[in-house]
Amino acid sequence: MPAIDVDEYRKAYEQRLKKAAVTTAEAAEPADDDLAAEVTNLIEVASNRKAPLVERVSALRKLGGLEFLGPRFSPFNAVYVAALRTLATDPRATLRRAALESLALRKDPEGRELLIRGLEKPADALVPEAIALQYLGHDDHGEIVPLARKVYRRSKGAAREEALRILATDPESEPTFKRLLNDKKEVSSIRRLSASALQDLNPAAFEKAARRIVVDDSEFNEIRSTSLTALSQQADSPADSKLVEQVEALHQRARSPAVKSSSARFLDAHGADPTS
Amino acid sequence: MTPLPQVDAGGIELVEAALREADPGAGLVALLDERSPHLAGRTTADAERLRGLALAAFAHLSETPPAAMPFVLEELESGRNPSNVAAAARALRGGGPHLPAEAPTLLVSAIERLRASDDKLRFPTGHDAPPTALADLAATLEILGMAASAAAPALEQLLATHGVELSRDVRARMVAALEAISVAPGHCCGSPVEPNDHAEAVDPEAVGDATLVRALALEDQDGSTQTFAARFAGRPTAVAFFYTRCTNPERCSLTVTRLAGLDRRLRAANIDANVAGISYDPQYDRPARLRTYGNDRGMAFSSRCSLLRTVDRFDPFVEAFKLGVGFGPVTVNQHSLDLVVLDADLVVVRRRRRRLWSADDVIDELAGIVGRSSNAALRPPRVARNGDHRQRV
Repeated sequence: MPAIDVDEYRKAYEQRLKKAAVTTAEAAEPADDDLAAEVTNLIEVASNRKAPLVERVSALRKLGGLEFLGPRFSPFNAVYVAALRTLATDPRATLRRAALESLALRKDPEGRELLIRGLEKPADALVPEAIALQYLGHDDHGEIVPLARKVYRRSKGAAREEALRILATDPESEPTFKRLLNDKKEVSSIRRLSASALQDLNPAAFEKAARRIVVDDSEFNEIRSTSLTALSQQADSPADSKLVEQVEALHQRARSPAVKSSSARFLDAHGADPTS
Repeated sequence: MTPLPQVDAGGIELVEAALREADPGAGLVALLDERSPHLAGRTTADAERLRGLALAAFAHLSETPPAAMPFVLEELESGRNPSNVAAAARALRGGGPHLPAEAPTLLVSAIERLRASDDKLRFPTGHDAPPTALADLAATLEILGMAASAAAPALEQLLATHGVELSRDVRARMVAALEAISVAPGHCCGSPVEPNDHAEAVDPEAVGDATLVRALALEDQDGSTQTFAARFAGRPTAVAFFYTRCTNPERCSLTVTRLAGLDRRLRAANIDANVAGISYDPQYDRPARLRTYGNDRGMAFSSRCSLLRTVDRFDPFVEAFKLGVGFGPVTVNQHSLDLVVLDADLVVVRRRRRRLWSADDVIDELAGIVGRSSNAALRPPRVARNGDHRQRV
């Protein structure tokens, strides 16, 4: 068998790779003249209420993908956003939701108004309450806080939880989070969210509540673990020796892996060695 | 399902009422003031919409008043709402003899800044109005014609560098604008409007008086609290206003980044001066948030460089420095750029409002104050003159 010239082989191989990369790139990114036609066509399909839903959803998804072309997609921004705003009130729920999510990510004022109107007047809601709040939460300017308070008071389940997420940066909601964190009848996800919110809004108040939870054997392991983890992150403020002793004892007797590991982390953060 | 109204009904009524006043220009300018009672309590979206309607309404007047120009230039320079920027540009169409020299270049830079976010116009327009904000900006350039000739190089450069990022319609209008503003003198019909070096109107009463805040407590990014006087007296100070929830990256975020740069340059030049940012939103902007915000923007915190929040109410600062800020139901709804330079005795020596400030100018001022302070013992005491804006604390 003749010997292979390794250098020539490598050059040929690299050229094949390069050609393949160019071909792939060309296939992935349409030329700009084609791009204009493609965007126009996709918007037409997505907006056509007589077209099958699956085609419309696919068109909208492709448009979302083309957005990632960045500057090359900029010339179509205005028509794309106009199409999204129209789709936001489409009879088909799937399209409304996808359009409103895109608009929310862009912090589009018209999209926000539609979502807000739906929360103020549920009969006009275009998406479920929890989804509307989630989308509105993308804009942390905080103006949705008064509405989130209303939703929190009137709703249950996912909508209530999403409302609390928005209230998590609202200083006036601190008493609410304190109460929820200490309420053993409250669901675990709400209590964990409250712990995080209270720690952000008022670290001193959080520490007081967390210290009580950590040493309360009637508390749920999940909440104890969350509190320990959060206290570990507050290692700047030195824990008193009594708390360290209590956590050491907790670490000894704990059977929950989550409590075991979070207490170990706490002790490590405060310079104490877990003894098992 | 009822579609959204194209324009804000409440806002339209206010603008129409202003247009019916004896001095409609003054009425519209009053609507632009961030402290206007018509803006108080409105959400940011509502406040922005009203601002756009008011700016666009100047085009209905025979001439846009000089008092409107600071608002117009501010919007062109740092506005992020494409429709409002287009509305501000329309106000230039009635600029007449008051057209600021820098306005055309700001128009072009606005197109560049907003090229990825073109959107429809959200104020009443005629049937033949361009379909989008960027197209309308280009149309304004075309209308200004020779008065915008200074912007020709920037417009050419923008077309060359970013033309592919603009829609065909916007590009075509920009080409038309370039032709209009590049026409040689004498070829144009009628008398061309010459740009004016008219400086923005400055109200000397708006310079500021730090007396009202001297004893107020400020908390910094480390949780340390001092009075305004204790923190700043004894050396010159550049203090700007901001809030971390600001959604316009050309305003607060940029301001804090630039404060960080200012501090670095002052330290490198061995100029002993304070650099500080004070939050409009003290309840939300607590120390940990101030620290993160500053760190993310390059601030090297020290006794000379800090981000601060008021411990009690923020109102006295609004009054003391006549700040351009309005508040909605939760937080700020509109604000201008505001930077104040104080001397070692906390006398306000210079106020910069609405426009991006030059770091070189601020450094020169602070250095000048330091220089004057070190020579003070050698000079006779100053006597206040008429028109001297200094107000001693």
